[in-house]
Amino acid sequence: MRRRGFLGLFALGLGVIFMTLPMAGSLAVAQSQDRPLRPGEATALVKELGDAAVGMLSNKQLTAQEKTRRFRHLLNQSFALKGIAQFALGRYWRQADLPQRRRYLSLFEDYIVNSYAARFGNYSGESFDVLEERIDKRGWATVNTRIQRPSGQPVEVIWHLRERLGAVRIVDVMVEGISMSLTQRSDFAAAIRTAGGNLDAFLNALEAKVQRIYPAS
Amino acid sequence: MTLRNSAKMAGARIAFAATFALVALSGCATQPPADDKEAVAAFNEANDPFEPLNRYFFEINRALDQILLRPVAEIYRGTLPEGVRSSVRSVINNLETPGIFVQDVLQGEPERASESFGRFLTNSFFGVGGLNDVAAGDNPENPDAGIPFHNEDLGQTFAVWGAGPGPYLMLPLIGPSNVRDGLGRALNFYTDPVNYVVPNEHRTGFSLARTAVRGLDTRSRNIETFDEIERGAIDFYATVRSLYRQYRASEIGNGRGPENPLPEMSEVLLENNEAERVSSTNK
Repeated sequence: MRRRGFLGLFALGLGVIFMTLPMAGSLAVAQSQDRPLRPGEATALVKELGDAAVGMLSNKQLTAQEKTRRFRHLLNQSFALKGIAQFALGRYWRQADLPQRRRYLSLFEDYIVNSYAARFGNYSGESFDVLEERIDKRGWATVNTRIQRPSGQPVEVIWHLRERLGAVRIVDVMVEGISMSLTQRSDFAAAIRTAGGNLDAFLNALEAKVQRIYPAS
Repeated sequence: MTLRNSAKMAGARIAFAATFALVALSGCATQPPADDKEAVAAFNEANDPFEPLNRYFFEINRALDQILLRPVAEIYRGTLPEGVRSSVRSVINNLETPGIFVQDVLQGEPERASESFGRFLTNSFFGVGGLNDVAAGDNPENPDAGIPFHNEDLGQTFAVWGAGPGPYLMLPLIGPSNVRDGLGRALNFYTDPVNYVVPNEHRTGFSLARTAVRGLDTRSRNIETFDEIERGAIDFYATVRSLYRQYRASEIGNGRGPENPLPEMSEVLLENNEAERVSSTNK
């Protein structure tokens, strides 16, 4: 009886600790939500990502599979993937139930990974320079970079970053004035409409696309 | 071709646009019910009331691209060395520059107007009729040296003057456009000083040839890019529509994008932590 009481208390204590942890987490969220970025923070992250990507792409020792694995890691480390995925689904996110959301988030990540994995072979010595960083009044940062191609015109790429949950992440990439997130959102919105607003049908289409972009995976 | 004939041609172009609009009206996209506010917002955002007809022309354009433009662009790219293709583009850029200068002036951009003016003189005289883009000073070591080419057209000028884009249009042969840009394209012919220098009888031919070479050059430089966009898109038509809208907005703003291109993004990201919770259960 005593032991049970002790164990019960112990379990209760654990329960309290584990239940309060997420709450502490969400309190921290409330506090850190609008932390403005410090100058140089965003540039450092973009530089780090760029260097890691160039290093990975130019490493001839790596197998395609290993490159894909590293790319997935870089993606999760540098991008606010969930936020981007949520934005891309637009109003349908709110209508989705939990299993649909889970399936979508995992498909979205595969979709991005496979889209880029299919292009790894096209790498031909591109390098990039950071041109400038700006921080707007919300504390979000934009980092302008120029991708130099060995042949052809350089490409201007603008990275949008913000801080959330204690981490600085990329929320959008604009290539020559075109937002990747916005384009994705338009594509998904049209695809869902074609599917008659049926989210499961859309998710099936997305899954098929994921396989088709990069069949090797 | 006489000026009168050119006027006739413009008449034909406008008549064509009007016919297109009429035909389009007969095949309208179905508007969502008014009580579904979000669906209505999405409908207005797409700004594509003629979607069924636009999709039809999109498929025709795609087929034409696959059987004609793309193969020719590939042959062009495969047979001519980069130096030659680069000169071809420089000549086309140079031939378009006087017209771009006029648009710079109409848009009240003195700095860009003087850039266009200087580029045209420099490249015409020192760049042997534009064969060499000496004004751009293409130097991989210092990409900021020189004055790069910039594009303008009457559609952009209309936008600077405050005209909205109007409904999205997929024009046969020409590609994505909208009412404003389509009208601008038809009337661009008259604001381009080069067209008045070319002898009357060659005017239309010259204008068409210049457009065709420009199209070929652009296509040949985007073969892989287009392939990738098509491969990645679930709805290729809607993706192109979004790309066109964003691309034009960026051109109109001369690369100065909106301060916050994704106003709704902040809302989404500030929403409660539901997303986080979902994915942590996922892991």
